[in-house]
Amino acid sequence: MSAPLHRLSVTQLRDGLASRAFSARELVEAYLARIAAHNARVNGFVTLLGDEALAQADDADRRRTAGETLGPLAGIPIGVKDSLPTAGIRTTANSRVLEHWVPDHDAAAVRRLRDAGAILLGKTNLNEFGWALPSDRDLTPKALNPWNPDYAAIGSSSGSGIVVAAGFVAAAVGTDGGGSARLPAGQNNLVSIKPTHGLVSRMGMDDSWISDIAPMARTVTDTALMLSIMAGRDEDDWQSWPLPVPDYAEQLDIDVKGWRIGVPRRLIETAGMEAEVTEAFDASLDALRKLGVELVDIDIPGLTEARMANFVMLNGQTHAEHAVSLVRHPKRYGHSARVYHWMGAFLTAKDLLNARAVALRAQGSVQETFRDIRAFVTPTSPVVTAEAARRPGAHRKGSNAVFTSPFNATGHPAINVPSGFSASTGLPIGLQLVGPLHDESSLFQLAYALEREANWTSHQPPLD
Amino acid sequence: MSTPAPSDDEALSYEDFEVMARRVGVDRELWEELYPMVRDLLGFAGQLNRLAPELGQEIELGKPGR
Repeated sequence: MSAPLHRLSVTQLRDGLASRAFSARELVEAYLARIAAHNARVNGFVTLLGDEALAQADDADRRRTAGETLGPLAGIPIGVKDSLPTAGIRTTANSRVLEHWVPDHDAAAVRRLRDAGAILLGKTNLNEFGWALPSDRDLTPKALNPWNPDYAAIGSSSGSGIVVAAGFVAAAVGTDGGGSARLPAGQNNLVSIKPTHGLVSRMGMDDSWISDIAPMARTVTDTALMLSIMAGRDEDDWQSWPLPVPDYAEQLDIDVKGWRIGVPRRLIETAGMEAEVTEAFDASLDALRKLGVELVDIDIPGLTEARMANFVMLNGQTHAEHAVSLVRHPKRYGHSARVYHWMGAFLTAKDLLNARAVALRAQGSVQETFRDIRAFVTPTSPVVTAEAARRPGAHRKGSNAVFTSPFNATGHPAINVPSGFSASTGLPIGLQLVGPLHDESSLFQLAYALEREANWTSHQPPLD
Repeated sequence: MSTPAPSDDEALSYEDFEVMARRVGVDRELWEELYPMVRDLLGFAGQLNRLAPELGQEIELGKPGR
């Protein structure tokens, strides 16, 4: 293989390891060298696990040499958002509240990836507890975008997006409660899918009506492979998805010609889109037309209300989780995290239950839309930069999540795919595809067709 | 205290916010920053309460199936 190891996809790494083109130790050493050279510019990691990763790599190499049957990710390093518990490894959520917490268990999805042979190379940066404005006074300083480190990285799974885009790992895991994996994927030229709510066991993360664990990678195939491993029944989680999960990566290459794909024009036109996002979105619609897709204008009732409902539920749940600690250990929180986590204290039980009722009504409305179309398409974010997303009055109302958060409320699967670049900043722009409940396959297939048509994944951030 | 109504002219006043903030026990040093955020959040909640009005209403006595 002529490309440097850090540019290879998960499937290319899997094939290279299997053919002995390189060893797992050589792969981990290559990543560690790249992290040593570049991570200080972007702050992708909270905790780096160099020695532990090398030991796991040696074990994978030894088992391969011994002819043992290995998992599909054997010897492949990944990053995991530091809000997800990892057994024996410090898990801080980038907060001094959890500065010294070493869990005795993995989140179920993380355990499945490790059981498949993945090597945990590091825990990735995030906004404190995933719900705060980042600051350089945080436990780990603010994450910056590798495509242009003059700009902050959007979150909350900011570190997971950074480490994949920068070539510190080939794939990572984030969480998504309003767009927190899809938004950083969009801003890093990556693919990430928020699966149907509950498809991936949430065991180990905070209980939530709206959040899910999401894979992030540079290609559709890698993301599909990761989801197939992460999803499905977990013995310790009676709420986990009980049915067999498809091998999404084996079903990608189909002709999407003739598919009817919706475009919710009214939602898009009232979202305050920046001109560069509109330009990229229009180019993506052209790419879809070239694939022979039939684009149809649609109007989905209830999406604005679903966004509001998601925001109410998010604030209610985050406050409930932190209510005691906010009073007992206020100074362990960063200032922004304190403010953000207090908001939900002002809500009533009626507010939360009505928000839930509105979200479920919107779920029915969105699902009804799929009677006539296979999927629908929106931008992932109306703005390009994290700075624009966090301007006063916008972030506190979730305005930058106008396209992503409705589907956390309704539970529908939604995938980000690369859609182009901002000429003024050099930052990537994302496109979102939304599909029917439990039809991740169609989203992957459409995303795969788009990936081949547009070829955005060949671009690399200018770190070298 | 009930959630404020959604329209702008009925948005949460700072005086009502102070009463609520004391009741829930928020540190005073956060009030100024927190007020517009809570005002917006309760505005959302108020709109949703209008859309899902069954909760929070007087129970019709003797009505079966509630």
